[in-house]
Amino acid sequence: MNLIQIELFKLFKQRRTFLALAAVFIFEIVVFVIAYDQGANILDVVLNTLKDSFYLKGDLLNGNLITFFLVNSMAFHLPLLLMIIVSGIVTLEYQEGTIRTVFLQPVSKWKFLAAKFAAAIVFTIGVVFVLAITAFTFSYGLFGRGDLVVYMDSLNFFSEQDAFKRLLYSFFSGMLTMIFYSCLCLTIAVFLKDALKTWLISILFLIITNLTGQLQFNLPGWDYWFFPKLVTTWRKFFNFEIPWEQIWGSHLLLVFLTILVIFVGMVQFYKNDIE
Amino acid sequence: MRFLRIYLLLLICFYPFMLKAQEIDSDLLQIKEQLQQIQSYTANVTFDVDISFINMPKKEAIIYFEKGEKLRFDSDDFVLIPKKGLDLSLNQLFEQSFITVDRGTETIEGKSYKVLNVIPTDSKADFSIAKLFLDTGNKRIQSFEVSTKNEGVYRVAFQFESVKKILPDKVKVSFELEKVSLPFNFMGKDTEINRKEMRQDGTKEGAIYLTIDYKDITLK
Repeated sequence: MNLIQIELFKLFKQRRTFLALAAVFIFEIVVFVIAYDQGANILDVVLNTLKDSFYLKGDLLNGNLITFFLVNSMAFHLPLLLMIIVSGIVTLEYQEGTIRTVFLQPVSKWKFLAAKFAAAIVFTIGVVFVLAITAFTFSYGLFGRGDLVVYMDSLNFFSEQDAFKRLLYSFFSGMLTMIFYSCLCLTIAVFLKDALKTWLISILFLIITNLTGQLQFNLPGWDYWFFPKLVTTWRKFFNFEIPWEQIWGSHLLLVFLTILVIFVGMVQFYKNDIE
Repeated sequence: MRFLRIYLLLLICFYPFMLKAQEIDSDLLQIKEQLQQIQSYTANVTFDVDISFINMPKKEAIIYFEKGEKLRFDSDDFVLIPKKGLDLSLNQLFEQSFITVDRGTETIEGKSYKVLNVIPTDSKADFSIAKLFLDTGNKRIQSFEVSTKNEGVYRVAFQFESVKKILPDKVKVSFELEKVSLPFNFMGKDTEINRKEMRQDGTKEGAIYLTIDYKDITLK
């Protein structure tokens, strides 16, 4: 526990941690501005065909839609920021040579890296919580509440309360994905020991995952077990009928992959010589 | 040649009587008069959307009807209210001058209905032809199909809880509409959306089921 506290303390001593957190807020502000500026046009595109046959009563440009846009940041922007911050937990130790000082004392290599993984997980959970709380607070505060419309092969409309519940679930589901990315980034850092190389490989991994996520093959389980689909399980909470069984399956697999990534990182760290 | 002259003479003499066959059907006139007694009503309406590419929970709204005025709606939720088929007193159908053509009878679910075509004679009418199924025994319109000039065809079927009721308690409005397809993340200026392409998915049949609970009906 003490080691985790120390790791968290070191994390918050880094300036880039706060820069990245500020980037999360800036991203939110940008989304609010875009939504304010273009929200009506976007909805107009979505609902244009319906306007021929229906009167549309009610406002869909509301806090739930804005929060939905922010939830989407868990596909690329948030993992990118997390990877940049979290990789520093390991790479800075190598770059600044503090790792040698640490191991001059009787510190277990396993415990040392386990504390780093634990600190990364705690930090990731914290960031997702901050994103969720600020997203709900500012979105509802600025745009009010209302029904949510989402396009998922069909136009799905959710009542205000249902939308809130689904957004909440998606933040929790996305949190698992963010934890996976953070742990993966730490493991890459253990292998490469260099911040820039770690960032490049992590970003490349993220880009490939995002691009291949568009691939669609009619194979059984493709939507649930194919890795790029697995890391966007949170999107399935916006299917009109939530596929709970598949979501639980995907979450369990993601947790397993996270443990595997941590294990690989630990083994590699144990093998690494402290130079 | 002589016969042809006689035939033309007879045709000219009897033409006004032949026209009489295209006057407004007496059963429809009775129903129209009955419907036109409705001055205003307020009703709680539950909307149940049945469109293949739209998933929506049941929604509620209050509708306010006042004769000669546009129908007004009020709802706390987001609701899709069909533009056509909500004119329960059929004011729009009978707004402009028209003629009717008797099409005999048709049996639907074991019950026989008189079938009429309503053809507007005024170019201002927004439909070209309507097919009405009359329940002559209860002096009501059971269902109708309207071919509009610009907005396709829509069908409306009424259900009445009792024989005394003038206004329906359940309504099914069926129509055709174009399907849209969009990317999952449709946010941002870079998202180019080709509306023509979006509409290439073709038209789909859809329906909205209304359950109506009238609060007050004012008759003339």
